[in-house]
Amino acid sequence: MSNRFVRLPWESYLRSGLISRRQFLKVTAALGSVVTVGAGAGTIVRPEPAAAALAAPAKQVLRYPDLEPLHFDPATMEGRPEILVGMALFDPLITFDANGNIVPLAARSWSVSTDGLTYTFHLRPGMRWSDGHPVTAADYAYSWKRVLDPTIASDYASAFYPIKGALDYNKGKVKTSDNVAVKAVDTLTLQAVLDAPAAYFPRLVSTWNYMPVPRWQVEKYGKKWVEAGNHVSNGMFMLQSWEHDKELVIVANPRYWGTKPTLQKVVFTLTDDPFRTSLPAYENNELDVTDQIQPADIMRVRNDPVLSKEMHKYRWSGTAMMFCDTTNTKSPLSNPKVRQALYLATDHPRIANDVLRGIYDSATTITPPGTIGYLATPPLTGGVARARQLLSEAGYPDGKGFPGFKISWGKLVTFDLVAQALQQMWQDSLKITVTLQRMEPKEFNAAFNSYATQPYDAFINRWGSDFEDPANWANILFDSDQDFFHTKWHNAQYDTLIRAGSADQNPAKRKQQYEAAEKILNTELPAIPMYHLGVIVCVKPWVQGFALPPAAGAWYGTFGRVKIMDH
Amino acid sequence: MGAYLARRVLLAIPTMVIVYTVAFFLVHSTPGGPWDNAEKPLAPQVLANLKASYHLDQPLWKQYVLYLDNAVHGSLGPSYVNTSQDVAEIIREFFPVSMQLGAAAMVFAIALGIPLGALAAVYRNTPVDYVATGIVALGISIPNYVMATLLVTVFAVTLHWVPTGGWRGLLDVRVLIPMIAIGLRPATTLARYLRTSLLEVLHQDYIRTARAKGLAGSRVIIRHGLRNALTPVATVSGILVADVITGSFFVETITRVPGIGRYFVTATTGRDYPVLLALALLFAVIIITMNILVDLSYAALDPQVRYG
Repeated sequence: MSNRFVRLPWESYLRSGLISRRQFLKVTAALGSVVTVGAGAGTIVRPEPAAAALAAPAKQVLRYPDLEPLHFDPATMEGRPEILVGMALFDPLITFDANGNIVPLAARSWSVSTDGLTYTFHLRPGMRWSDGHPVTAADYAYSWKRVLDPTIASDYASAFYPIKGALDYNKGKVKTSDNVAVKAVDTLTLQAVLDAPAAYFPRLVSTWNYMPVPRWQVEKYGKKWVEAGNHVSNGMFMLQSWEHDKELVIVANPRYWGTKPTLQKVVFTLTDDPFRTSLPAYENNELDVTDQIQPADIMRVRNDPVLSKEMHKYRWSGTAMMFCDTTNTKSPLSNPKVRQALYLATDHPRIANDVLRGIYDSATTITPPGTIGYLATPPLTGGVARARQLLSEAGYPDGKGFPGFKISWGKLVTFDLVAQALQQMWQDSLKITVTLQRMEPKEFNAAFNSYATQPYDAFINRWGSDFEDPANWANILFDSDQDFFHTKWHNAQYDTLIRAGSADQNPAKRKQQYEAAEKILNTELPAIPMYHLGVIVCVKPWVQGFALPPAAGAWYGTFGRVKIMDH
Repeated sequence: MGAYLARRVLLAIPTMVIVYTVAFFLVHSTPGGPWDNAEKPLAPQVLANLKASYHLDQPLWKQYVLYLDNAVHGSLGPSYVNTSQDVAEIIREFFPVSMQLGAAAMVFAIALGIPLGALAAVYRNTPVDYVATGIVALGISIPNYVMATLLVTVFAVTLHWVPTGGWRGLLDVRVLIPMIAIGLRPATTLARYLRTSLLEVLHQDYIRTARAKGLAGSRVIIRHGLRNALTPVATVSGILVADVITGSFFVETITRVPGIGRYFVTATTGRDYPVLLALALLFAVIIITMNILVDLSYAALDPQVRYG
């Protein structure tokens, strides 16, 4: 605990002149306190907040909250706690810069054949794993094929399906990985052949499942290779210790090929509820950064003279939406005019600023800012007046005869608040009644999976990007072949545009195609956008350079940029 | 005594089988499976791979037999959620922490509850009694997670006397807040039971006899009064111990204690079948053990009780 937080009750007596400085020192010394006393002036020295000088290397420690991670095995990593730490431990071949552009990392360069099918990656020479083994193209080839191994049962195996032969091997149609088109041409050259052109492939390669694993440790320790002591990595940091549910420590990797980070160590305090426990721990100076500030705490943080200055808001690439079954003829939502009316009658600023107290940003279009295809101005306008007119055109003038519909969602504070607000807004502006159904998360997940085949009305959910590219949006969520959210929406023109966009190597043309598609999507509205995601955390003033990137795929370097100032 | 113990242990076996059977079918009949994930649903073939690797593609009765067979042979299976650890490891690593915290809370409960109850009974209808029963009412009406939050806010966030949470064993100040938060309620329960039963005992003839013989007041109360008044308290302590070890989930979360409590919740929300089953069995064992210990303690407290 730093001196800053030792408050001596008798200090006020000294200041008000009730005791002498001598008496004060005596009491203080007798109690063994650690208050430092200025030598010359005789005043108590209070450490300055965020002095300009860089702290000594031994003090380059960041104390950070996290959930207990499951493991740091890139093949099966899928949650935030794993990815946040995992991307500090391993280097993918490519990564994202601050502007979301892809830049070389473990690969110094790469090229793509003219047919857009063959990608060749040239690795940096001289890279080493944290145990001294050289990093080779074979390491990456082994690791990529390992994700597809059916016995590994990776949730993210589908991230490798663009590669030729991947699907058959993962499905178990063929027993060996020999036909998966990834190979090490030589020690430093890796080649991957795709089934079809995919302009987004380099972005996919920048995500965590494409990071390498140390084959010799995996083969020696089996699933225990992820424990501290067995864990070997090739990134800027390496795993030093991991006491489950208590504390996890990563330290700068001395064998790292690239620029060594200023920060020497990150100490993660592990808890199963960092959202609730990190703010008090931060206020008691046990942490340097909080986890996401919750809606219940946000007003207190905003009104607190200290916390309000330490609050930072970051954009998180994602959108919460109300998804509709567009083919369920028993639901009024199968009529696009009804969906348009609901969209126009939704007071987006009120949802973001009042209902959610400004923790998230208002979303009037579906694709989030930062991703190609984002539209700053929605194609549909006209507000409540136009909404009433559309509802009337749909056959429900003034809400008369409207059969109502049900919105379901998996329990989550923000969804609870938004659903209630929507019910009220639509009742007030359109005079229609909707019913709400809040479910336990697992119960909702089971219901959601049944929506693929069963009719339903509507549900609220969100999508956060793994990496900022429409391939991680339009092409998964609303392509009628993929139909991730089971809206059963089909628009041939939209499909043509996004499929062309996903393969197109020309950025300007790609943008044009996705924006045209986004206009169709936001006119037909199989999903009604609610808010864009974001992250609000408090950061101590002595932590410099800390920023959370907008998508998990860009987390590489998050801790590498941090510097601790003297405090 | 030995024969009695053996009989009780043997009787525990059918109880455990019933607990296992009920738990197994309850766990498997809850909606949703371990890999139902709405934010990033799995591709069908990935899901099939996962199910096959954990034998979940087999008929339910086969799974029932398979798990039982493995459990009898000492293997509690893998965890679906914490894939790098198996269930036995999870229990080995986190259960001792809950045990230690539970024991500390129980010691605190006894150290506070017994004197409190005794004082309230001895000084019945005096300000001492009113203060004691006031504390009891407070302890019973404040849930332990509210108490934990209050203690953290006051002693950590405002006064900065102790850290807000964490765990460094029983000899570290971090134990104080969870110990008090968990122990306060059982302390007040003990005090309440002891007050009632001690009041009854103090009106017995043998107490009057002891007093008439001229024994010192404190000796009468401790030797003759308390000993006889402790039987109902022992009964309730058995339940309280099981309660303290199993019911500390919220406090463990708030004060960041790496105990087994959180696995109850993560295993439930994650539909981690093997962990859920193992925990159900573990707590059945705790409750059965506590019941046997309570019954044995009667023999020590009451000379009329004998086990043959």
